[in-house]
Amino acid sequence: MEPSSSSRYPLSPPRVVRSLGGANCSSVGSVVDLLFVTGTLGGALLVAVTAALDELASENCNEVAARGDTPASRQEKEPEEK
Amino acid sequence: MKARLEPFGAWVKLQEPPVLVAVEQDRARQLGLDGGALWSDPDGPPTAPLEVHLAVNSRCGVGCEGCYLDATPQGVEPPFQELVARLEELAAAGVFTVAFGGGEPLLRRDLGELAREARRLGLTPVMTTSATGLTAARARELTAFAQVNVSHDGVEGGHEWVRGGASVQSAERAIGWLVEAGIKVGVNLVLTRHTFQRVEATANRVAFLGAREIQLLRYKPAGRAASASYLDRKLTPDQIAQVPTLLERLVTSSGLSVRIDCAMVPWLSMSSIDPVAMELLGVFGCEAGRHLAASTVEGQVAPCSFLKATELPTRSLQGGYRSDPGLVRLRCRHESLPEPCASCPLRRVCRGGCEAVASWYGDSMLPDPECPRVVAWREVAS
Repeated sequence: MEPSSSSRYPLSPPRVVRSLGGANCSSVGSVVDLLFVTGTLGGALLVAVTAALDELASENCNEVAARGDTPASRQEKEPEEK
Repeated sequence: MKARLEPFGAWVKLQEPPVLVAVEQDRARQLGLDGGALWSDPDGPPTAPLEVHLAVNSRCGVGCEGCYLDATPQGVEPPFQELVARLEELAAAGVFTVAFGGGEPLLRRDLGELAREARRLGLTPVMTTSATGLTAARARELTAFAQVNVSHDGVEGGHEWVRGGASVQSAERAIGWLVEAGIKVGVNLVLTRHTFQRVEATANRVAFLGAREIQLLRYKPAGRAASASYLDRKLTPDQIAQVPTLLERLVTSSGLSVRIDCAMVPWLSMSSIDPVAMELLGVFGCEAGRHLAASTVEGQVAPCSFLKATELPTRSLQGGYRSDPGLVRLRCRHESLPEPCASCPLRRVCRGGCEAVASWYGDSMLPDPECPRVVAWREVAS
């Protein structure tokens, strides 16, 4: 499993990127700041989010490899398991 | 990484940038998540709300004429352990944020401890308060909250007009104490036809006091506000038409982050704001029974704080959220809206506007009658 930057197929873009924070107890609030500024800032947010997701995927990939649970490692281990 | 599986893929909480991201199944799989059978129906209902509003009491002595819960000084206060049990269920269901409300949450002496319990369980606790009775020492007990919003309904008498017995000075002192305690502070401002003209002056004032966010709220006909006086307090059509430009001015000049509540989304239906951008940036319209739910002081799940509670106990949220009939009915409203919502570009975000408002006008299943698009459509139809 590889992060998206090196994936064979492009991964789907994020469906929704919702700012955290807020503290209303009666209705759900949404930040509207980026709706009224240049598209560049919105684009920068998406780039940052995609990079953070790629990093998480890479960490997951490393964890999987460290557990020896990759397809390649399973094949290597197969004779021993028999 | 905190993540929750959903039929479409997963919600993932990022620390930096601080956002919740909805990712498709392919990206979720890359993160090591596997939805199994849940992923066979990508359009299925959410597994749990993202945010739950937890009523920690129904006590409040301020007596606001527009209180949506009809809170009184004699209101009830569930035991600490009962609220902890509800928090445990929310955490187990995968809820991300729990917003403490009441009544007046500060009337609970164990409020700080409850917030710490929420943190221990992996939830993000936040709170709304009128700040009546807050002291500097009490503010320092509240540092487990990620954010506290103080009700501030306007300078130049706006606050007193809405809040009756609560003075703006006590709200402003509270903002200062919370900021000093290192807590992120926002303000909640209820839009009425009397507070509307003071919004920008109020934003400037609370920014000066150290608030970082302003949350604008639509005045809704629920609780004590569900009287004929609602018609005299709600925004006029002319004021509603000004909301998009007001938001733009606030964003560009107040120095605050600006939030709108779910019920304000229909007011943007005639603006030039891109609906696709709104959806991508996580602007939520009516998410009642979907990404939002409330836990009443009695412990029942409600679709939101303004709608009638369901039969589903908060302590059974995990097992019943997708199938509870009351929640299913509301989701059906979202999916089967008649015109002019059916052809509205904002439909996927707005979801028909506020059901609490529609219900007050007589039919909860119809589109929000105060939406400018609905008003224009009805004028043409008649």
